Amino acid sequence: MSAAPDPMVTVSGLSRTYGSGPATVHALREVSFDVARGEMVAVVGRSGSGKTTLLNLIGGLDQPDAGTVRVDGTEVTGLDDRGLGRLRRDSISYVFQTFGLIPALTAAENIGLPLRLRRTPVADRERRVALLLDLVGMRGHELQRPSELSGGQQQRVGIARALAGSPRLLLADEPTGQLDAETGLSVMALLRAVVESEGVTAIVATHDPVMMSLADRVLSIADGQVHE
Amino acid sequence: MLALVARRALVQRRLLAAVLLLVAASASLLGVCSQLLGVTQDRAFHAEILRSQPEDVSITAYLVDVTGADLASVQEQASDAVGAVLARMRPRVTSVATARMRRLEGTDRLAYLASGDTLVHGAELTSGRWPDGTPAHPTEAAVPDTTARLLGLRLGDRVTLGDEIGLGGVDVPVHVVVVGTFRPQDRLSWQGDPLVGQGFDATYSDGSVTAPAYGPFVVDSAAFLATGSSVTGLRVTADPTLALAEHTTLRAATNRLHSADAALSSRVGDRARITRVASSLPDTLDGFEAQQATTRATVLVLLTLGTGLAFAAALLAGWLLASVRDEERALLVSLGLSRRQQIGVASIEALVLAGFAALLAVPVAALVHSRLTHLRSLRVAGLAQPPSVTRGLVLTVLAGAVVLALALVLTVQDADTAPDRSSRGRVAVAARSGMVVLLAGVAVTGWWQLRTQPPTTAARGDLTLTLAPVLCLAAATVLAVRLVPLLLAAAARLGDRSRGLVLPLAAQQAARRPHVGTAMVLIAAAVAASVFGLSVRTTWERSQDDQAALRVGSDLSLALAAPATSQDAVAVAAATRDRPPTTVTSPVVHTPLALGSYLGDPGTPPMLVAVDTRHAAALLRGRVASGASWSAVGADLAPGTLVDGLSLPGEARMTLAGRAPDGASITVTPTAVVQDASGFRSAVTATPLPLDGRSHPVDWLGPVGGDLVAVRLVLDGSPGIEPDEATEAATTGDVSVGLSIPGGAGTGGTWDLRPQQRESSVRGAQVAVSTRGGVTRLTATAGIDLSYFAYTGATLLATVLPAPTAVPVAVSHELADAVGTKVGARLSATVGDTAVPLRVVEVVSDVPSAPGRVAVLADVDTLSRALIDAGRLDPVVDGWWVARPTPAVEQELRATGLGDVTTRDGVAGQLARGPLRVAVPTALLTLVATAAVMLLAGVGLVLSAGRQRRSADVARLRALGLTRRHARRVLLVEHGAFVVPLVLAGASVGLAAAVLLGPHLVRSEVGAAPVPPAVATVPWAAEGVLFGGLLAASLVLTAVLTFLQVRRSSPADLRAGDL
Repeated sequence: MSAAPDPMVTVSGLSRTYGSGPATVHALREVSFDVARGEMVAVVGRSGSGKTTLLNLIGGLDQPDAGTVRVDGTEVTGLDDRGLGRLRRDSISYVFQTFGLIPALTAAENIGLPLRLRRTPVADRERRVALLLDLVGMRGHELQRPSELSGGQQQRVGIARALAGSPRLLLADEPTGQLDAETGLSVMALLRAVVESEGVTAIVATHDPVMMSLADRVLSIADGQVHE
Repeated sequence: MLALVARRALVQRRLLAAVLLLVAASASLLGVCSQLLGVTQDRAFHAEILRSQPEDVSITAYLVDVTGADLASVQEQASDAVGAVLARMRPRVTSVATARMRRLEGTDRLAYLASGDTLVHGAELTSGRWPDGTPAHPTEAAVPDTTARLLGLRLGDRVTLGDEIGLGGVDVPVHVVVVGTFRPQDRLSWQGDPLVGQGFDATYSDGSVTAPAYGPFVVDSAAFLATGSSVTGLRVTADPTLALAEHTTLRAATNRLHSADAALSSRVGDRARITRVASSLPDTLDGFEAQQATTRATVLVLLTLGTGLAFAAALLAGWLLASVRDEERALLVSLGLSRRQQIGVASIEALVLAGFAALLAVPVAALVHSRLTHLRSLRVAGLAQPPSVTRGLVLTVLAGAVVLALALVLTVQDADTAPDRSSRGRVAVAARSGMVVLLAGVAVTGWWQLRTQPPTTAARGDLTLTLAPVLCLAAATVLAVRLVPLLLAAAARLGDRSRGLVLPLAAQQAARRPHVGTAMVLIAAAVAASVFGLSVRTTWERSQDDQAALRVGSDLSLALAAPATSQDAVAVAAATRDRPPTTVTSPVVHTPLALGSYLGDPGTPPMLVAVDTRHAAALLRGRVASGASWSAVGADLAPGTLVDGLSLPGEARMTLAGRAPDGASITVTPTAVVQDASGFRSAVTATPLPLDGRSHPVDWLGPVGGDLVAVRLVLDGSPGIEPDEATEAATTGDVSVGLSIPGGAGTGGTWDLRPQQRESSVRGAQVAVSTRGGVTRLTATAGIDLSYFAYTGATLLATVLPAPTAVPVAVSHELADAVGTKVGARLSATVGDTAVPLRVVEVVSDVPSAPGRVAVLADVDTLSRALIDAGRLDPVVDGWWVARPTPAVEQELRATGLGDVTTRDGVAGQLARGPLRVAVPTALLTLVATAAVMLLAGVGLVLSAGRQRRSADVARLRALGLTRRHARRVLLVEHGAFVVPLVLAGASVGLAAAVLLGPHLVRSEVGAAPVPPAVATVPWAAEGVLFGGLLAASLVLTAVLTFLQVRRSSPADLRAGDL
């Protein structure tokens, strides 16, 4: 794998196994790669190939059996719950396949959540939320709750929320997996655009060819191994 | 499909086990209630019957004027008549026969025979023995101590009772020999006695003859028959074997009672002048049934509230189950499962669940019920029962389990059908507004129904007492709960302006929880029911105390069946001799009176209650109107100054000397009114003495001691002139009567001499008291109009007692309303046949010992003075009250056997813990416990029902960077923000309902409004502990569930599409 001079993400010898005995599944086998700052990387592979496992390990949502992950110089695999919380609060954001919105909150409130976590002043938060609503084209829907939004709209809100805290790394796990082709395309275009406009590094797990074409680099994952 | 249901049940066995437990617990509660309403009520009835007094359940035939020849047959027929009424309860039949008065041979005194088991059982033998029925000549007789003393009789003395008085009397004398003396003990047994067990009456009158009377001479029944005496009164009483008395048999007996009177009358015919069969049994049964009804109403409140809470909990459980199965349901629906099939499958599962729940609940309910009946209060009331499974229990539990399990069917398609909160259309808003108005209307109607209950027993009372509190509580809870989302929404809006996360997010989440309506009502209603139950219980118990206090009047009441004697006063003084300083004793007058022409309602005449009002504060019990105190009332009534009177020597005999006008032959009959150390006054009459200028020893017909406060002198005889020939000058003469008291000292006060007749022959009456040579002489002189005297005689009263112009009284509100009087008004009262003017100085809510009655309260001393002044010298005191008696004093007073001893604590205990009543506080406590359990079930269910959503939210928040600790905090605050306002709302509703409804739920033991009216009593300390406990338990449960939810949710789970 290519080595960037000051990578945003460094993955070294990462392994993750599920189950035991004959049912053992080697999701990742000593995977190593770097992701440069501002780069948008697409991770592709068949269902069950380990894409989500890789993203979860990078984001600290899961713990590897072996290997390390460094994000912006911080070794994720060595952090405790508080450190991981700080990392996710300050550096990493997620865009989920199932949108991951809090049903009880409105679109604006969902977007404002990361800012609340940082105790951003109310005026700044509202300004930032308004900006992001404009950015993802959801102005006018800020008071609607997730159940009142379409899938595409929910994912737009999810992207806006992911960007709200100005993360340095954005992890997106099949962000268009639940959307129809047209909506998926618009969401991907949005993602690409906001990554560029916000200067964010992004790792996007997908099996959508369009998404791959929008990425700076494509990592293919199969049998627990990553290939460029 | 059934295989799928079975497999699913196996997989979800923990969840189903929890639902099963909930249904079983709820069904058990219903079962316990059914047992309380069934077997416990039956047992309570039986226990109450066993406690009842004989006079409450006995059947008595009264027959008046039976000839000696007819006595045996009449007595037999009366026995058959009363025995037949109680035939199924193996009655014991006793009788008492009282003969007509006879002249004691050689005197104008009267005496009489009597016979009967009841008299013997109601007396204590003091010497000798009872007549044993052996034929003897002369006839053996036992006499009262008083009779023996006054007639100078000793064992073995022979007495001849001469001819019977009155027309048609038997003229064969009866010779008796005294073989025993006795002291009447149980005044009730002696109520039918002409002298009510006193043994002597100086002025007995049968309407035609007035003379001193003695007796009875109690003889054996066979001997009584043999005398052939005319019977003035025959009383035949049947007492049931109480162990055999059941509700149905007693009710059947009351039905037979109605015909027994006519049957006896037709059988006896003209062999008795009057026949009557009477019993208190119908009233006793009515009272018992009224108590059962009020108790049943309270248990039904528990049952209804418990059922409502349990049903709400079952609905929540159903939603929990449905939410867990939602995906499966969606899948099956997509595969073609119809709605009917879904309901069918759910119904089968519910019925199986109900069956298992019933299997669990029946033994549990039997056990819990048994343990409840072993609580101290129920055990003492005789209600302890072993576990028993009755048909009622099984049916109730089964029905309850099925109904509760069917709640699971109602929710089978309802996992995601919570009303969309965004639907705020006009129709929805209008519907909600209408619902608020409707609920408010229901609550107000319930309160109004309770408030306007008739004061007496009524058929609708039971239903009102049951439904009104339940409807009020439910409606008020729903209304209060509607405020909670508004509160949370306001908090959420405030949170919007906050930069933090935990509190705003928790408030927003709490404000927008789905499926909250039922859960909110369940939680708040459970708290409300718990708080309500505790306060109503305290209100109920306080009311029982209040009722007991007002009913008894003081801490202890000794009620005599007849006016007290000086011996009674001595016995009471002896019994209370060793009392501590805090114990206060007062003679009491508790007697009917007439107010002008107002005689009151039949059976409830106006009552006169007179006590020593100088000690009113310590003595009187019962709530006085707000702003007043018994101390202040007593001060208004108390006499000004106490009077000592002339101290009488113990042994020395008094003498009387007097002079009449020349030619006149006049005798004087003195009656002394003496006062003992306690202030008790009694009158003793002496034999007539001539006014012949010589000194005569006074022969008092009773013991004379203490202080002399009044002497009545009845002058009678010949004036020595013919009235129609008398000239003015010759018609006036002076009379003087001097009473010498050896050993007396001082005058005892200022004496006054007044003629007692309204138009008297007396002119210029004067009295003087002097002491010389150790002898105090009271001399009364007066001029007499001899021509007038020839017709009327003359009566003079020398007294040291100042006569009140009117007796100051406090009157009850009932009296003020009935006769339209007010403070400052005067009333003309008649006590017995003596007119007493009254002056109203106070209006009180109720007069102690006369709750809810038209009654007056007076000072016993002032009343006595007024009565003596009006010519009534005999004591009207008919009891004593004792404040703060020690157990020893109570025991001593009971041992005197003077009358019924009633204590305030005893009455309160009977009212609160009697067999038919004790289930009320127990049911209310059970309500508290049940509601607490339902609260925890509600909190557990509502938090568990949202477990999946909450877990997903936690995972999402953690993915955003929230630590596990912060996630716990968010969830805990969210749950707390949901639960705490509901607990607060529930407590507020419970307290408000207890204050507004509680007093109206309290009924007396006869189902009537209590007197005094119940006052809402909130046990703040206990309520605080209960509220704190409920809140703490809810929060602990919330914390545990929160901890588990956070622990089980991880952001790594977010990949799963179901999050």
